Amino acid sequence: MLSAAEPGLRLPAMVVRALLYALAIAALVIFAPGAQHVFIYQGF
Amino acid sequence: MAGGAERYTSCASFPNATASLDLAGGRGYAGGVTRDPTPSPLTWALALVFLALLDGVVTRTSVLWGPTAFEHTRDIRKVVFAQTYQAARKLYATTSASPARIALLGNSRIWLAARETFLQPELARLAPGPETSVYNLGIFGAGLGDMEVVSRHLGRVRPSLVVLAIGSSDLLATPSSPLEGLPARLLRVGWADGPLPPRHAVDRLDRWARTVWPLYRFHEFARAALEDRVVRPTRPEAFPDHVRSTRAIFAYMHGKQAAAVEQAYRAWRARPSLAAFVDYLRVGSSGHVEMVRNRVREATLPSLESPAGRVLDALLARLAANGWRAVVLLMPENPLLDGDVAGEYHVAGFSAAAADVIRTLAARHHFILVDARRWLPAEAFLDLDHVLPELSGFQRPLAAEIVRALRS
Repeated sequence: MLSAAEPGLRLPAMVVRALLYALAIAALVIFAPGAQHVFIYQGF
Repeated sequence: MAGGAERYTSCASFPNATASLDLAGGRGYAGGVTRDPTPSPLTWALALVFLALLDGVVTRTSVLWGPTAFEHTRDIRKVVFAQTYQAARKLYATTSASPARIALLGNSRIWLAARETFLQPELARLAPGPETSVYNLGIFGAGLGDMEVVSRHLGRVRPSLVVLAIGSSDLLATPSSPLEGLPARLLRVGWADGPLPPRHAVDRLDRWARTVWPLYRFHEFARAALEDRVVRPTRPEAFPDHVRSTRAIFAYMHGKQAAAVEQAYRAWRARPSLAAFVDYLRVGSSGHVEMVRNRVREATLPSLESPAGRVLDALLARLAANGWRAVVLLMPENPLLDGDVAGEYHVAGFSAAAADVIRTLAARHHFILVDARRWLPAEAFLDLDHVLPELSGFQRPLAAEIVRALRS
């Protein structure tokens, strides 16, 4: 049975884990609350 | 022990569960094996590399800057966000080999009056040769504080000339005409505080994060763009490249109400007076009339030392410090206001006082002031603030002033 603990899988596991971390951080940043829409100037 | 996957022992009974926990990096218990998922520094370093790549994939490509439906929204609550996005795209995702790049800073007055599709042909007619690129960075409702924040990004387009298009009412700093709003919050960058210091420390941290991290700087736009690309909503009609008639602009602005607005517009043209013009406005733009009346109630005469004066000074100082040529354009005012003897829609003397402040500050930084307040007749106006896009002909004298400034 394969396991990420196998010597040959350490690097791929680390790469996948790093990619998941990066994706998670990017998603948190993009979908974090921020300035969106406001009621504005009624001049138009 | 050092953290990382190397310490893990797979559980013979649940090998897949073990591997799954390992990849997810969660601390867990599976099949009797406890795991320490602490990632190695190398994993974090690699994650940062991936994050930088993801950042580039989002903020430097059509993922963020490609055409979207939301930017053409007709929902007035979302227009400022949409136009700030469009201004950011012009700054960050437009490349031009043109030797003459004209950046227009302002609000709805210039957004409507000097669309690229109106102004560029006039510039080409007056100055044949290499194409002049116009970047209309106007945003509805933008105050001087918003324009100052947008100016922090102008280095992206290396402008040959900056036209700062302001109206006298932009020197107000009131609820009806605030100095800054959503554009300043979305586009704030820089290490030092601007002329309007942040209200809270967290706003300063937000600005610093936007300064160093493009994905964070554009995260609101990225969310909207990603939602747009996933949901694929129907794209609303974009603002027309050319406006051939009042009927066409009313159809765009007012939809089903357009015929009634056109009828009211024709009635004021047949019986030209301030009262008839206000009657026409009340059919389709009653909010505008109320906004102008509120503006009058809140107005105090502008001065060099007012917050607006300080912001304008800082904005002009930035343009000067970067060595950019600039024209300060005092936008056209509706001459019908001369007939407002009751002072319902304007404050007597306000425009002259504002012009004095603007003239003094432009001279302080050695910029040309173009006073366009009396350029156009009442028939050229859409309302009490805005000229009729293209139909007013505003783009022609503006193009002449731009060509004159470029040759000076």
